[in-house]
Amino acid sequence: MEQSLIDDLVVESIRIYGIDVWYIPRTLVAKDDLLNEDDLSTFNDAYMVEMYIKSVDGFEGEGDFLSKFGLQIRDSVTMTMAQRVYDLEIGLNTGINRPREGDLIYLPLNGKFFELQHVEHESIFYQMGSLQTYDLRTELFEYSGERFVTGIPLLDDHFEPLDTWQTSTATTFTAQVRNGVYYLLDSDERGDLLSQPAIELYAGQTYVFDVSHVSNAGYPIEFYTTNSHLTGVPITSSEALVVESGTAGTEDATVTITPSLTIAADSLFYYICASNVGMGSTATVLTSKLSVETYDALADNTTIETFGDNILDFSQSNPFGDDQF
Amino acid sequence: MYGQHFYNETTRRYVAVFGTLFNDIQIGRSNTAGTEIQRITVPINYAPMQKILARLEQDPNLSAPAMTLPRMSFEITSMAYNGERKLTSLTKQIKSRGSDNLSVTSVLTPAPYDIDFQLNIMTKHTEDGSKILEQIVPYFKPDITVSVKIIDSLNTYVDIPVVLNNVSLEDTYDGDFQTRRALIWTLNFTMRAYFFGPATAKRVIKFADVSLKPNFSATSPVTNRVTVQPGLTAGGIGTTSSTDTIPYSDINIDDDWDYVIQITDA
Repeated sequence: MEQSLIDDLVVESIRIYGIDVWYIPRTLVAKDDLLNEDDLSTFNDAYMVEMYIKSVDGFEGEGDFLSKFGLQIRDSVTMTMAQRVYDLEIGLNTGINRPREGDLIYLPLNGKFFELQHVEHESIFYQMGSLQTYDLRTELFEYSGERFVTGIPLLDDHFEPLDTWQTSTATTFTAQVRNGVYYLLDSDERGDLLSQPAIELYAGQTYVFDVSHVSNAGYPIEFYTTNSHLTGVPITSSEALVVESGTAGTEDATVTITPSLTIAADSLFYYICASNVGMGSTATVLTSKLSVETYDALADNTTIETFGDNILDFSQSNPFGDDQF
Repeated sequence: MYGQHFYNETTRRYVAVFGTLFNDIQIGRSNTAGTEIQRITVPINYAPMQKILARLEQDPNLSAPAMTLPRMSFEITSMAYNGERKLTSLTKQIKSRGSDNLSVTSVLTPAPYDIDFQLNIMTKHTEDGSKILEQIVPYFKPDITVSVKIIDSLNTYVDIPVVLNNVSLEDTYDGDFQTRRALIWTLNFTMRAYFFGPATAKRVIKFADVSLKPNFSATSPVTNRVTVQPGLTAGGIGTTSSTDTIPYSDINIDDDWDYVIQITDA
């Protein structure tokens, strides 16, 4: 009875003095049992729970500093979470019995992700013979291509502007037609299909439009560089490779598009129905993420390449040949 | 120095040359079935920078993560004169013609300096580091040589060997759970570089006139005279005959001229 009373008090206290955060469990995808690491982790769920920030005087850690690798921000913070809240809000859904190192917390106060470095379960030592809280020691997250598919755009799109990783496999858009309108859903997203969304395509990456759903019958998706129904200008092979397979509305029917790597950044394509007015929207072609300098403020890859091209002689296979010093 | 101003941007070029060796390294990540899922061009930058620019550029909205990985950076760590590569000081080593064909630009023998570069690779995962490293080390046995245009006005390329001296790894995987793991590969290189002085342009000498004396006495009479000039017929064929040639002032350096040498008694 006393244990339940303390539990209630702890939960209530944290609810009063704490803040709501997103708790995001990590899913290991490709654990390397030899080197003991997983470089393809995903974060597929997010749970809003209340936590108490123990570091009341501000973030701990080394703070901001300039390193050999540019700006590093070493903020850390310790948060307290009621064990009962974890069990009810997260544990029941995930089947995981405790917060785990490597999970993330999204702190709405500064809009940043923190990674659990250590979970201390005995910080308050067995009051009335039981434990009521977890102390979560967290550090500001180091991003390295981890994928977020929680279904919450705030979290899923957070690292998009900084992301320099290109997906090697094709991205699939599931397409349906409802009341004469295209509905699409990117395979990297969760949730319901969106009504004719303006989509973004990365140059050099392949996108598959799955038009096998029966509702697509009679509404084939085609790609144009103008938004003109029937009289539009189809995409040329120098702009993108478009491959149609099967008939829309039948099994395994797809339309595949791969924007050319040489196409100008922010070129505008249109995915429209060639035989019906008003169906479709824009598809903006963004620079390939492999052009890392576009997305990484610190990277000098292209600058170095451009400068080097003017002063380096790549024409001679034998550098000790004629005209050499 | 010595009353001349010049700047060949040599160090800047060596920085770019070194960076060019590593600016297109990509790594991929595969799932347990071996299918590649992600690929990245590893960002690289010259590490030293103005501090005021660091935050302005990398955290303009105050929303940056701790950092993004993997990435590489490099910097010059030291420079030392290498006397073993010294050549005769007064020889004009490199020449190029002016666009008007009337002048020749040249520089004196460059000073040989060894520039030490350090390349750092930081990754979040051991395998990422291995993937980067294994694309670098096979090419250094222990050096690779690149041809670099050091001075723009001299359209000549200089071979610059880059030697990989050693590779080290710092992996702070052990210790308490509050300390973040850092995985940093450090590669030390030596670039066998040269620094050139000012390039000077001089007009092409088309006529040489030498008076010969039998001894070094100032009062000694001139006994012979030797003149050397280019010879070219009106038909554009090189000649050694002084009577067949057109005036030397009309002969260009690109023409198919020959030497006209005349030795006369004084």
